[in-house]
Amino acid sequence: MKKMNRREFLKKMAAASAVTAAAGLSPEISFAGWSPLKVLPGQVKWKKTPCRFCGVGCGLLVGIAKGRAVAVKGDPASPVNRGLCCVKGYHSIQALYGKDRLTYAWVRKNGKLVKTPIQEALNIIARKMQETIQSHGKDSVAMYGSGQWTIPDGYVASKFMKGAIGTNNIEANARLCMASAVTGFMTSFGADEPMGCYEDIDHADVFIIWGNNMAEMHPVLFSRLLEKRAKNPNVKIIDLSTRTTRTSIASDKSILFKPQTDLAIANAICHEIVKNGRVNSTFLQKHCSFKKGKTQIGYGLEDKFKFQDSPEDSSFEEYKSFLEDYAPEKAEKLTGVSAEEIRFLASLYGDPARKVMSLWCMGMNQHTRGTWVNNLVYNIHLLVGKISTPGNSPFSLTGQPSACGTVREVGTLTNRLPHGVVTDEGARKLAAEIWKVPVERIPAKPTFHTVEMFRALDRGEIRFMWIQVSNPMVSMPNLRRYRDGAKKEGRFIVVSDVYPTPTTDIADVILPSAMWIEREGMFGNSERRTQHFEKMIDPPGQAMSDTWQIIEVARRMGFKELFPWDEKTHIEQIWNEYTRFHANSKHALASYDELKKSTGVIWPYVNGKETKWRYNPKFDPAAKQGDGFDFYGTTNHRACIWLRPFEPAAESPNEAFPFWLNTGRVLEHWHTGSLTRRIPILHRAVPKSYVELHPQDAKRLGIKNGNRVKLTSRRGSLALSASVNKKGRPAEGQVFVPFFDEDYLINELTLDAYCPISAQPDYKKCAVRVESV
Amino acid sequence: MLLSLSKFSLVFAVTAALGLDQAACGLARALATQKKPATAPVTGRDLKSYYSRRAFLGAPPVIAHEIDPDMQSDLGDCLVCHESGEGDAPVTPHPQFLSCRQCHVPMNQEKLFKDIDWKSVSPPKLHKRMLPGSPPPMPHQLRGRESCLACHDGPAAVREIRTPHPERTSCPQCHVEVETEKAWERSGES
Repeated sequence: MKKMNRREFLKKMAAASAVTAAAGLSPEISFAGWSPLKVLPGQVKWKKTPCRFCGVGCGLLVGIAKGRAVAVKGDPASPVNRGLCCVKGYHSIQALYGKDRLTYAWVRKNGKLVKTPIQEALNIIARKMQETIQSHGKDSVAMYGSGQWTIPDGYVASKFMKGAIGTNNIEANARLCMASAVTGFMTSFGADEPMGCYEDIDHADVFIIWGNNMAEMHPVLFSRLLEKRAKNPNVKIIDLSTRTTRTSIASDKSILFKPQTDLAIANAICHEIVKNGRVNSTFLQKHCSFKKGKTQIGYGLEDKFKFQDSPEDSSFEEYKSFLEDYAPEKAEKLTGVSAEEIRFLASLYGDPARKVMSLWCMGMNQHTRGTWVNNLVYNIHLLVGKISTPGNSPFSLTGQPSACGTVREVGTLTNRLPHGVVTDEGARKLAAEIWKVPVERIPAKPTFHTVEMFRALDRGEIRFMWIQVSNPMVSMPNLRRYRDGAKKEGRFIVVSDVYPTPTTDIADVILPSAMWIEREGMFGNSERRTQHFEKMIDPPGQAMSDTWQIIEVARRMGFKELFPWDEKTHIEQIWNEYTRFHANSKHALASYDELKKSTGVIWPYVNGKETKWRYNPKFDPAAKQGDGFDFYGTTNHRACIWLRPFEPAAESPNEAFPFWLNTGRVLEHWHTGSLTRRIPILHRAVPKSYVELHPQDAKRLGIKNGNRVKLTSRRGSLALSASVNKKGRPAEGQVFVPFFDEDYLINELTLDAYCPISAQPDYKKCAVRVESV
Repeated sequence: MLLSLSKFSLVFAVTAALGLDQAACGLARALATQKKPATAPVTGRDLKSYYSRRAFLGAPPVIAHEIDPDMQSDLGDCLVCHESGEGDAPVTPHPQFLSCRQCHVPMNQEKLFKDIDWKSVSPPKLHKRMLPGSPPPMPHQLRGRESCLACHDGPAAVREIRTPHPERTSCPQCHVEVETEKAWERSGES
């Protein structure tokens, strides 16, 4: 009966909206349209590539005709998306054709950007880098890259900075999105990246989503969840979130919690699992150890903040008394989640008959206790032994197309090398051997993580920064400080990009980059899948791949012997050199030829076989044979259960700033929008930023949809139009603003507090005042 | 509008008349549509508006009406009208996909952020038969369009591509996908 009413209601709604649509924007408007090429559909050549956008890594087939990309379809052969894409993927190729593409280099002369031949711009960059090193030392030059770097881009960047110049001043924007996932994996398992893969979705019965609007952020995977549920009504999707979103609406149960309290929820679930005897004792005894670390660890708000955890062994007994603080009734007060709901979650995780997949992304990673909350969700899976088997899978989703493949696997971070960390002599020796450089050249000490790198630029310790495939002048938190810092006298900024952005606005040299299928490359997605794409079309004008830009500059600085490759075959040669770093059964990568012909290969790839579930000897040849599991990343081959408490956010609302500000993405836009805003359908769907308010808050403040609202934090203020009950609905006392719009720089308000262990900033929590203007 | 419509109907009639192997009822229906336009109200979509909502052949079309509440306009709510063609709503050719807003987005503004130099292949020519009267091949892939009648029949069918024989349910029996424009050449030794 209720359903009928809803159907009737919707039909009426549709009839009404058809009238309003006709009165306003005519649906008959010549909207998309395209200039027709004189080519028949049957003459189009289809070539495979991973999508340019998110970390899901959908397989696309791009239609090529007359030297242009003309159409996209989902690759039915791809095990990731099985032929379906999202609206960004379908229209991705239009991002190649914005009329303001950067097609030649620009160099700032007497304060003005002047069009310059790219070879001359490359000379200027090499000379400036050398001069800066001579006058200020090696650690005064830095490179800032991206999880949208291809694997070869990241590899040559790391070799150039660490192996050729000899500085650890290399970071990437994945520090802002995946660092807590990495430190979570490293502290719990001693090895990065998920143990399972997307195939877990086909086997799981329960999906618990932690702080991730998956319907918009990982739409293709989310529709795999929905498809699974449609086939099997026993499947449950639970959305744990601070904001009501499409994901909440689509879930079987939406549970709202107060910001930052996911830490307490995870501990409370474990409290219930232990109390109700749902612990898998055999698994726990054979495969787990207990540890505790420092508490009250700070927020990294001060310059040159340093933190070093000192883990100590703990025990199940100590863990049990630690959990006493998180009895459901106590947790209810802190989290806003009822004791009943906590017990319900614990019963789902604890039921031996159900296979459970946890999924998360930025809510847990962009968190001043990001490492801890990652640890705590692993704790739940470890207590019940639901891990590393098909369908039992704690799954950390990635934001960017190659945050895993490039930044995490190649290690384009200050503390990392392509294999291991810079502080490990063995890792430095291996890198020196493969790179054929003296081992002393690779510094043993990490320098600056991303936030601290931009602070060092502001302070003047860094004088030269080369930014590729990233838009930090939109995406850095506490943006004003870092923009003012980058613009200071005596700083030299090089930006490689495909369109003008607020970051190219502050550049001294702009290099035009070849984008995605205009060059050859590889990406690595969330499920350890490496995917190759060939060069399908020519880049416009003088645009050059990021890989080749770095090689050109390195050669000009006298490092030709380190970058000897031929322009035609360099990607293959780079791949062959890079894969030597991972030539072991724990991380072996597929050969270049295998990647070229497949829709991606999951590593470890051993004896022609993908490893879909790591640490499980049934699937993983690196795991010791036996009847259990082998968490070989740690020295004792055990996974670690951590005693991590709840600690408050760096900045919470008070009387002067009574609202939480949460920031994030929308389905239609990719990150800072520099690509997707040039795609007509996407821009027209979400043309500008807005602030979402809860209807009660809006009413109380006298704000209606579309009214101008001013947000003020301790760092800045911004006026945008109000959005009530549209895409998402924040809880009372919270507001949400997307960050894609360069005309509404919400990051001027956000706080640059970060997780002391991962150094990843928290974009989800700071305090603001809300006023109607 | 009426002129162009009757022109298309004429093409329909001629081609249908040439389709000597077609069942009589198909022909009758084609002839019936030929007579309709002059008096009957215009229903359905035409190809021009069909293409105007897509960035290229095979691209997911834009949502051409308002949606409210935005958050909930997903998961079967769209199917209330788009599953069977309530009113004049186009029928989805892929009702198995539930997360509609993953691919289909509304248009809230016409002005672009920056101009774009976008080109794609020409729309396929209609009624491209290999022989007089033979069934025309499908100029598009079938994936995502498993239900042929969604676009080729019903009140919201695209006028120019409306089938004259909706009662024949096994469409791929006669209409095949075009994979290549090239003729087959023997690769072995001659």
